[in-house]
Amino acid sequence: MTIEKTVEGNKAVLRPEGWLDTQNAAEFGAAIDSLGEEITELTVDMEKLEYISSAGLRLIVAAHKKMNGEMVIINPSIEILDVFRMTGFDKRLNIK
Amino acid sequence: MKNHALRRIALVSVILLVLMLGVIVLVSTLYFRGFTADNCAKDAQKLKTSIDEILTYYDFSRVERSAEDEDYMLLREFLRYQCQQYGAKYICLFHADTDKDMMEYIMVSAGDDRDHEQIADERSLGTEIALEKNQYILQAADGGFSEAEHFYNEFGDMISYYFPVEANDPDGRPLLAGVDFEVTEINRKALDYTLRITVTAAGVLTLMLAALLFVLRRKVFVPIKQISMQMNSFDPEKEQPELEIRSYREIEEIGESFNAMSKDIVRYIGDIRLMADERARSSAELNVARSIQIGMVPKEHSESGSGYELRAFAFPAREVGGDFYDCFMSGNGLCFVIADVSGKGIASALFMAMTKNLIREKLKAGLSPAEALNSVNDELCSQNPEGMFVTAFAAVLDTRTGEVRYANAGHTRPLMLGSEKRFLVPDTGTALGVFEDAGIVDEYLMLRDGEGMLIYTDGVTEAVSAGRELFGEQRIIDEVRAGSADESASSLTEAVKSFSEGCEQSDDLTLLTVYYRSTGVTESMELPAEPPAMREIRSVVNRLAEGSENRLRFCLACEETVQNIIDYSGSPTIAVTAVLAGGTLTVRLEDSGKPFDPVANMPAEKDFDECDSGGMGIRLVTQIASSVVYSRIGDKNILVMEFKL
Repeated sequence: MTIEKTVEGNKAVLRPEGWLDTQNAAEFGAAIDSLGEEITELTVDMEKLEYISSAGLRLIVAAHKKMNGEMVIINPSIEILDVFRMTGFDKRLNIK
Repeated sequence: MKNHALRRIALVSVILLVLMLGVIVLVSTLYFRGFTADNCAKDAQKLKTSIDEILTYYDFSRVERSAEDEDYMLLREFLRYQCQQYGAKYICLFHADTDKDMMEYIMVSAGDDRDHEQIADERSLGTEIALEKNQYILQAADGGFSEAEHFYNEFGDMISYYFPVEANDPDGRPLLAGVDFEVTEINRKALDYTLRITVTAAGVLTLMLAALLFVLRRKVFVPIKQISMQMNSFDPEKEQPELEIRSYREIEEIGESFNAMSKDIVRYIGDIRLMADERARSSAELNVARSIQIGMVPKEHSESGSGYELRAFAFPAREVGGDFYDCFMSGNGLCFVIADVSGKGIASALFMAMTKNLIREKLKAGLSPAEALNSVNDELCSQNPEGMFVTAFAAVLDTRTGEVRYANAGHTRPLMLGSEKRFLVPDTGTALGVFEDAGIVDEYLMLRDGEGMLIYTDGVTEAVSAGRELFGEQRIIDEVRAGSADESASSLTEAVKSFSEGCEQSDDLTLLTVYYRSTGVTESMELPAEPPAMREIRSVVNRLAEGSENRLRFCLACEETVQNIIDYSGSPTIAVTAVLAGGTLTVRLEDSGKPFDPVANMPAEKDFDECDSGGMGIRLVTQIASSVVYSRIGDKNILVMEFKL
């Protein structure tokens, strides 16, 4: 999968594309790990993300914790929003 | 018509009586003749004494002088009296001159008056007649008592005795006397005696005979007649008056025997009637049992539904038997069962009914075939005083996927019907009702579209031909035609029937076929248990659920389960079967890893903050799938998920 990363000061934007499943989870995990200490606000733009599995969800939770809650998810597809709803993440994540 | 015994006895007795009387007459005639003749001799002796005595009173020289003399007449009268006294015809006094061979009569007397007169003239005093050397007279002249002389002359048939008498005449010639007895008179006397004896004997014998016949009649024939009438009028339906016989021991015994016999007969008839009633009742009960059994196990049954078709036949042997089949839908699919209860008759039928309902109840409750059979086994073991047992085969066809899950409790092997026909070799537990631990396990088989399965009782394999051959398993493979449930079941039934043609059906013949008829699209594959498998399954789900807005959710669920298998089971492969039918997508995943039930091991709901450690996957699956069922069969984990499109 391709993950587009944009860093502006203490803000970063991740744009994963395609399927975030077990196989791709490592890549997405690496992208989160690569965010430096200076980053305090993370935006995950899911406009091009077609699919997310539980492995992906774990990374989303991990990222959320790393940002101390300062993480925004934007443009999730209906399907991905549906997964967040099923897991109850929609109540805890900042989704726009 | 036969003679009556009494009449016959009477007739014979009369004949015997007459013969006896004849003998008596004959014997007594002879006896009395001799007797009378002897008496004549004795009378003659007595006469000699009388004459000797009377002669002492007479001067015989005077007597001889004239017939007119008073002494002569007195003496003659005396002799006449003696004749009458002794029954003699004549008594005569005479002299015998042996030299001149002449005899000279002095007097002759006769008992009869006329003869007395007449003889006085014919043999008057001094009448001489030739002696003709009469030896009897000569014996008397010699001084002895003559023997009896029998002769016949003008005076009749006579017996005469001659003897000397002492005349009171010192100078006189020796005086002889003769006495004549008439033979007819002797015979008459003898006859007289005979008659008297005979009449007496006849009277006595007749009385005795009459008495005998009377006693016989009263003591023998009347009782026999009574007994025979009692026998003739014997009616076991009625109360019998006791027969009272007063007679001899033997006859009374006959009567008593008959009384005892008739009582026995009445009792036996009662018993027989009871038995007949009992039999009629039990045969009616048997008929009821049979019709109940046929109601419970119809002779033929045909059924089809979404994903399956089924055909069953049951031909019970003569009596009510213990075979049964059963088929019904449960939450797990089409359940079908076949079983054979030991023995025949009511007990087996009842046991069968109990077993059938128990198995049905368990399977309907959602238990797997092995769980159901083991549970039924426990119940049967706890309530089986008759020590009966049941061999059973129970199976559930998942009409979505074609998976047949089955368990065998000592039953015959099932046959798989497809492009090739082969016997399954199930892991067989013991028959139900015998041991607490029957060791029955679940097994499974994946049927492809158009494949089927045959189950049957030993009535098929043990059908006997006229040549005493058994049908056996090989003939099942040879004779059964695959194709459809009806074709398979019918072809095998026909084959068994024609095989055992001419022999009485010895055992129940029961068989059932089930075919899987997929109603949708099936995709199956076996994948290595590695991450690329998730892509594969995702593409399968994508294809099958194309157009469904929930397509991605289904992919997510499948991927999560595959992920689980890869992570935890250690199985080298994963077998996937996905079926889309009637708006439902069914995905069946099978692996041979270590037992792992993801549903049971689903972690409790976690706080959001802990979700980065995993455990969300299976939770998602249960949320997406309309049902998730895990089972462990043998060394396989099987997970079946169902998704509504």
